[in-house]
Amino acid sequence: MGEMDVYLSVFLDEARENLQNLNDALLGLESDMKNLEKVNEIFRIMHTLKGMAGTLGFDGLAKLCHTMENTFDKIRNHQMTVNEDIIDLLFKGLDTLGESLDDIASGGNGDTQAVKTLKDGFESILKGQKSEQKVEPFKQAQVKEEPIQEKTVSSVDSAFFIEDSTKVILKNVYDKAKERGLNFYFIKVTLSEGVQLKLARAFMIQHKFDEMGCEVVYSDPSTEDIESEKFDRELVFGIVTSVDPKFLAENLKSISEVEKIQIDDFFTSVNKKAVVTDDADGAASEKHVDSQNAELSEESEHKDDNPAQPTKKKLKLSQSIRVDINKLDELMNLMAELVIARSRIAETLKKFSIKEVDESLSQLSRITLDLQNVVMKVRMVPVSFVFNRFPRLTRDIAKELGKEINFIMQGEETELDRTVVDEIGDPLIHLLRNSLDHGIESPEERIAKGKPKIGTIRLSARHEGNGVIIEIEDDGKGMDKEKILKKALEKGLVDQTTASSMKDEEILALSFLPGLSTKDKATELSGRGVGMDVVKSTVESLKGTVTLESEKGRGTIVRIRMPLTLAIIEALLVTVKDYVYAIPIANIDTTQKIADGEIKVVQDREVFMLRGEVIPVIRLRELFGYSRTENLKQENIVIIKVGNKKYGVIVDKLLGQDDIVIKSLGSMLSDVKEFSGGAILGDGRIALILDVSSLM
Amino acid sequence: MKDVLSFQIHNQEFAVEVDLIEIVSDMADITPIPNSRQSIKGVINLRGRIVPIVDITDILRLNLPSDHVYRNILVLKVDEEEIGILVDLVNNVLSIDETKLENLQSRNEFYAGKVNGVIKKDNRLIVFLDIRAVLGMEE
Repeated sequence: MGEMDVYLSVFLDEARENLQNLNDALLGLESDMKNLEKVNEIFRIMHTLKGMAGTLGFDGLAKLCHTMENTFDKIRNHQMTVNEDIIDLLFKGLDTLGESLDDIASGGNGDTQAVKTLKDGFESILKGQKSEQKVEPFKQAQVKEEPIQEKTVSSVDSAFFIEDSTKVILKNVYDKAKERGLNFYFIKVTLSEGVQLKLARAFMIQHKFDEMGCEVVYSDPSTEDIESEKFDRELVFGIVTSVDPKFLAENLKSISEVEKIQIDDFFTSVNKKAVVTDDADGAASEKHVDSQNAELSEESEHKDDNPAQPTKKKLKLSQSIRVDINKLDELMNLMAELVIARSRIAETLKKFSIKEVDESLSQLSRITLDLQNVVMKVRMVPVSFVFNRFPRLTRDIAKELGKEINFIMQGEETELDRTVVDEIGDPLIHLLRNSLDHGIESPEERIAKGKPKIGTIRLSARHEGNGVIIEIEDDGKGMDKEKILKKALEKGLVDQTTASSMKDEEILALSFLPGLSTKDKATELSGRGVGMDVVKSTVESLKGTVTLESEKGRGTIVRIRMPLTLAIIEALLVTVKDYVYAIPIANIDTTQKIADGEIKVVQDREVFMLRGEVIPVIRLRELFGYSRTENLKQENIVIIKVGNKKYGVIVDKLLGQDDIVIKSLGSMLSDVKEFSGGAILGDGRIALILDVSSLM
Repeated sequence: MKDVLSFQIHNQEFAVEVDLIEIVSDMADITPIPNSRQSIKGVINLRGRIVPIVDITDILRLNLPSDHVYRNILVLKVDEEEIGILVDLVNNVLSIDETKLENLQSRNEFYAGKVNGVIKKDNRLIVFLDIRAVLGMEE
């Protein structure tokens, strides 16, 4: 089964990617319901998905795709108009497909109950609109399955037998194709005797056509029959394409268990009504005369009402590979080793000052630096990785809340470390919910306030300095500072005296405290116990910061600043005794020198006053069990802030700021709470990284 | 039969399974870890990786002379994790028959459960350590 597993994981990956594309396209369609291009795109994706599911034998999934595909077929043939109900049903279909994929991923066959129910839902829609088909007689012939014509074929040597009435229709198609300079071929594919996976082969053939940009306008047996495996070894397709028949034949031959390919030009086969293996084309190598099975039916799926415009195939060549993140960590380790080895060599050779060596050494330095940058970049993924699901999410929430919004995303291509991107999703969802629920007013309210009826939420990402800024901006009602302050006072989170002297931003920052919700009534969406405090702590655990900006009646901006990567952080290097320690810059408020006298003892704890604030002091020498430095007039203190709390640590020396690569200390040292990891410095020494939240 | 590597700490010869050994390194600068267990002497930079260093005499309660200086680090890889053990010197690889190990009842409780047995080879007596147990890394 190992081989199958490989296919399965590829299938799941690709199917998920297709679902994401479908999601995007569907959102596009919702905003512009007349957009036929989107309909076509969705149709193509559905078709691919169906083929993939069918190939691997997930029939339930394939059938649902099929019904959804049929719906779109009708839409693009103008037999149905897109309306909100259909969009909603399609979105539901999308979710169901996702669930079905999850089911498959966890070992099921993807045949969830929802798949069946939904399929019925689509079918009833299709039936409900069936009468419309009659309006267009031409269409009727194309789309409505022509009753299968059981025909006893008189001429046994006919490879491409086409029913007369169909010929008329196909002639139409052919003419249109010719107008556009495209060719119409009939292709007969004969599968080898005792073929194992007939259905899979049939799908592979159809997939090949898709890949080569061929539009299948006719098939015998019908797609329905193919899907229910009601066919023998022979399949006849009518295709419209610009591709060279030789190329076609070669490609189809590459599918295993395909025995013969015969390609015939439209006219030859229609006129002669008998086999002509087009040797002149060089496409088919051997004559094959055998057709006991020439019943006819119209192919419904692939019939485009305008075959002269074959669907533009976006050949999405994936130029990426999936790599285990651990391998990247390994690569990074090796990189670090290389950097250190280089500096050692440089150090050793300095003594001799050989000119030739200097040159190659500086070249080596450049290369290692470049290499380091590349390795760092490899770990980066665009934020679109998480942003992608937000348009759908905001749409659903807005709908639920009865609000209208215009959701804008900017800078989705901004790159962040994979580990950060993975973690940032939940806080962002929470913030978007907040904006929708608490920020944006109802349409009536907005009109009453003289604002545009549709609210705007803008999610943007951009690089700034050594980090990435993610902003969520809404033009809703903004935050009510008085209300926040009142709540905070009620809950005893601040006292009256501090409250009166608080700056605006400090008041806004109060909303990050646990247990403070300004919304009186909790809705289903927000107020579920996860509040801004969770957002803040998640962001901070990722070494980021979050700030608020809000104006009552005008809107709110939540600004998250994230480091580019978690593997590398900016740190302040300090010494204690003879050893170097690193403190993450993200947690540092300020550094300063203080005179010994400034430190006071209150309740046997050392504290000092910083801008009127009482700050507890920790002497690292004491904490680490080293003897205290004697009689220093001045000491270096680093003020650390964790959440809303601040404290100072006294160190021996401040060495300066550096980017360090965080490494784990391993399980043997997991009981040491003071350090979150270690880093290897440029000179090969190890700096332990202080876990600032554990020192309090 | 099993291959073991023997090494010397002070006047005692020990052995560990060869399969667990990654590399023998010269003594390196050890960065101490404040507030860690006493047996952990700190961490070293082993080709860009941070590896904790353990003095097993602290675990086995062997007394070392005050002027004793270690000269080598035996780096083990146990369950994908690298751990260095301080040793004086590494002797040689021996093939032993596990069924022929001597069982010595130790008077010292700190050895209990941490020794597979004693290897007798010529006139050497080698303590075959269950190194996972010594390091507290049993599953």
